[in-house]
Amino acid sequence: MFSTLTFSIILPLFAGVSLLLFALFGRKFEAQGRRNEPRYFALFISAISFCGIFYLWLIYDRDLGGTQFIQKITWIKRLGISFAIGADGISLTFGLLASFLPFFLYTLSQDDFNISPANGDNIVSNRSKLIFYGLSLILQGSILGVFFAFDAVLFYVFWELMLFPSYFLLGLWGGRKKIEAALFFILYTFVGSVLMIGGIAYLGYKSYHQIGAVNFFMLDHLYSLTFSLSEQIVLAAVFGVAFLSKAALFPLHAWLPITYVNAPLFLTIIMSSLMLKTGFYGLYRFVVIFFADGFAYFAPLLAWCAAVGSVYGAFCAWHYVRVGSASLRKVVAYSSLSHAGIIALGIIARSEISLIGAFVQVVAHAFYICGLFLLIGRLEPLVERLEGRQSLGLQSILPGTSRVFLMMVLASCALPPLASFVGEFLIFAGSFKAFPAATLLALTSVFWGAVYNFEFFRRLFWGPLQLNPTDFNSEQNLEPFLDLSKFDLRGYHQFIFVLIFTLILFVGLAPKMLTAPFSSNISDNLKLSLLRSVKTKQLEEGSRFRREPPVTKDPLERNIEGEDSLMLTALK
Amino acid sequence: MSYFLKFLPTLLLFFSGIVGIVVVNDREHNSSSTKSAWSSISDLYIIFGIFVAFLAGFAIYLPDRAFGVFGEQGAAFEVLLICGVIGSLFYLSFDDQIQRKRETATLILLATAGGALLFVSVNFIELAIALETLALSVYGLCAANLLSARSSEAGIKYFFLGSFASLLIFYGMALAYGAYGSIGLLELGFRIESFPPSLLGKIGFGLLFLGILAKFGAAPMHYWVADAYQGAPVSAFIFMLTVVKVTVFGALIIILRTIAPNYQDLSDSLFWIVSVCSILLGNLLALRQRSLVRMLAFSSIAQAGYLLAGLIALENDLRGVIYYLAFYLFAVLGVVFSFAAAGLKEDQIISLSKLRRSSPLLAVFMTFSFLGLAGLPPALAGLFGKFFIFYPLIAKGWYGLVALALLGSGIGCYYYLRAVAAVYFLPIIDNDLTEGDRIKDMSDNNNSQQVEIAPYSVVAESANPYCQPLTIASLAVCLILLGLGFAPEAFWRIFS
Repeated sequence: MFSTLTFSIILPLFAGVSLLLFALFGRKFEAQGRRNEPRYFALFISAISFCGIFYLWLIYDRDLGGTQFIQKITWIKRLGISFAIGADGISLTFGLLASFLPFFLYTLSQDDFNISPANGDNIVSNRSKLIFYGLSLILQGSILGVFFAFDAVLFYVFWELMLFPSYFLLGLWGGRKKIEAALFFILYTFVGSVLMIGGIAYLGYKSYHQIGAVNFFMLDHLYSLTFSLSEQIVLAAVFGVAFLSKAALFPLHAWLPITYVNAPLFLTIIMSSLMLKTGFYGLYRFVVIFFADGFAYFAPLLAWCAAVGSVYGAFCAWHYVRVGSASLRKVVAYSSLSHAGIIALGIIARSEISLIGAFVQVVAHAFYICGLFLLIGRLEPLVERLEGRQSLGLQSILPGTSRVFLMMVLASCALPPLASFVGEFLIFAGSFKAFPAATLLALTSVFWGAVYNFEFFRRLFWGPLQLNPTDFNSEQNLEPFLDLSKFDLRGYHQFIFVLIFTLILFVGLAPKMLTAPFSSNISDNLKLSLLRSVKTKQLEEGSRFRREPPVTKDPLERNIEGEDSLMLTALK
Repeated sequence: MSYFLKFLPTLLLFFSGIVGIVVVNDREHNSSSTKSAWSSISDLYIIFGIFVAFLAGFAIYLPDRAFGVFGEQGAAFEVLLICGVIGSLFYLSFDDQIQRKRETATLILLATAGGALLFVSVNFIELAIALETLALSVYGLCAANLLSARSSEAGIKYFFLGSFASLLIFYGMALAYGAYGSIGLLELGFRIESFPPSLLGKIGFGLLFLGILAKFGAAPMHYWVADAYQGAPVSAFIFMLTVVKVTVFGALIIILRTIAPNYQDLSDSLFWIVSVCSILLGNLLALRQRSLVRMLAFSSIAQAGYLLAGLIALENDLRGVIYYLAFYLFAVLGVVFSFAAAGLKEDQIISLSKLRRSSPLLAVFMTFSFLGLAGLPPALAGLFGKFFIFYPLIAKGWYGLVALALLGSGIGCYYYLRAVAAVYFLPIIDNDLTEGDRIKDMSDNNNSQQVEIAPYSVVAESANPYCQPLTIASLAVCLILLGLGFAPEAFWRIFS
């Protein structure tokens, strides 16, 4: 009944709901000491989901290209809304990431990295674990849904479904300003995306106008629509605001620092490595390809925003390292903002090279930002902020942590053989032709990135040891510090960072492994968007002579299900 | 015979109301001391019995489907009407604020008789009688809490403003009669079609719309809403949010359909202004409310705005609007039932945090309904409802209205989610804190107290003895809401 792809998306959603229901009704479970089953269950479910998507990634026919594994179930027939799931190389790459990272995070136990409900919070009951993992599974499922939905309304449903689990994760397990942060995050992204439903309704209306049936299925129907330039400009703005506010492009980034600092570490990692990417994915899927001419209207402005954003993020990170008054997480949050600006530049430039670079960088950034946040979460109970000290000298007590931290810092600085270097290089190479000045500005952020990253590392780990008792956050569990050597990373905990680093290095050395499935998709899409802009140009020129846009009304071309097609065959 | 059949539900409701008045009184004061849930229902057994008779009459009548101007879709309105009545009658049996339950039930039945009459009315007289029967009973319902000054105030306020609205309606009808010389809706429709619009007609229909919109609680005429809703006892509150909304909305559709061909511009521009005003004002005023009921009152103004926006692009197809009406009705019932089942003494939003401890299940229901009202998944009904309202608007080119309405729903998201935050994220507040402390606590939510998840039970020992039936009711309401979201087609298929 369900294809493998649909199954991999729906399974986490159902598993999450069932965990939440179990939390509500599972009366006996509460009393039974400390249980780890919720985490194992989440691990199991996400492993299945990951395997499914990995299998599809392997068998995806690269020569054929295009969208494959399509499953389409009619949902609301009257308005042509269907549960349409499909995958092309790009969504498979994003989806692989979105199914792997949660799986990877579930392998870590809660005490290790401060990532789940146990640490620093009074909520340690089994029930809260059920709720936590239930919500995170729903979040994972909805992110996967965003990447694979090929019906515009379904996409919107998954897009908004991301909000509710993140709201609860943030509000229930967040930091000091959790309620403010939760409301701020939801409002910012909801208000940003709320106009999108109007835009989607307009797409449906256009499909009624041009094809003869309301339909939101993206591939056959929406991709064949033509829009005039003014329509494209408005639609690009409406969709663009939604996606860019999620992707935290520079003037729309206000939710990012407060949310990253106050969210539980698990959510911070999911947000920075996956949720940010849903914005880029949507920007590419809808705006860049679909409304290419309208987007071209905004592109120079947006390129400057991206460049300024990347420099701004780098400067803020550098500032917080120098002054040291803010929490360590804030430094990483701003560095994430800076790198997001670079990715955005690659997508905005719309050349084939820069798009490939942007997607490579999306994967690389997801991994090293995850590693950095994990390490910060590890250090947080020990050191909350730098407090203007020249150095903390943690290397003497935490040599293992220092080693892996250096790895992540190197990845973040885009050291040449690593994937982040490949990504950034391709982005800049591709975008230089389109936006030379903005690219040069963004290039400086790479330099500043190296400055703040190494300064950050130096201050944390080198120099004489300077820890004072005020560093120990009184609410935290003090036990690990009685024996500081036990606090160091070893074994599996060190291995995961080596794994992350190896993955980044591997992708950097053989980027073809990653880019092969989607590079043909990108060139196809760019051709499509070129074709569409030729059509738009014809439309604009034609409208000088005729007021009405040319509407193709050949009934044989219509590809409609159900009654209409029956009627057509009867007519023939 | 068919003429009699048409009025059958109305007549049954009327007689049941009359019987209620005649038979009451003897055991009223004795029974008020017993507090158990089911005894107070048995107290109302007569009325429920006659209500069942009404349903039977409705069932006989439904196949005919001679719903005046509504055609087939009138059945959907009547079903929503019945849902609303069942909701408020059901709650009435648990309502502590109402001392004379049978009389109140009589009022509810009489008001519903007015509502049932409206959907079959074919001329202005029937329309006016229907609206007045409804309104007069609801004034009484508002003041049904005999021990509370606030309730009396609500009744009086609603009476003055409601009667003013009625005056507008009657005057408008008179002017329309002056312009076209007919009170029959069908005849009037023909005449409007064959003559060009006149100034007299414009003024008449404009006044008529203003009166009905004032009864609907739309924005520039919304002053009574918050006070009336807050002062009224909860069952009257439910009744006003469900039955009154459905009925008055039906009246709007009747007038709209009658005058459609020639006065489209008038109604469109009027509804444009009123719906934008309602959406923005309602959402903005709801932002700062501390009381849940008041917040719901202002949010009802905003939701009225969305419904009115749906009327602008109205063609023969009422399904989008009916869907939204149904969604709103069940979402509000979900919030009010779960709130009432928790048996909280005060209606402050901050005190909702107790819900988490006293009964997690109710907290879930309330959250689900709030998310639906905010238009967020997992309660898909709200999202789809807005989509079905806005799609025809987009198709007809009302982009500005859609943009404003969507931004308004973005604003509205804040206070719904703040209520959810109060349920789940705020530290649980004990009763002995003063008001000032509480506000302080809300404003600097620097939670030195961490959220604790309470000692465990699903349906808890709450202060409210009626917790269990109300919990079941809110479960049912939330299931309907869930079904409405996942299968809108199935909902429409019922009525086609």
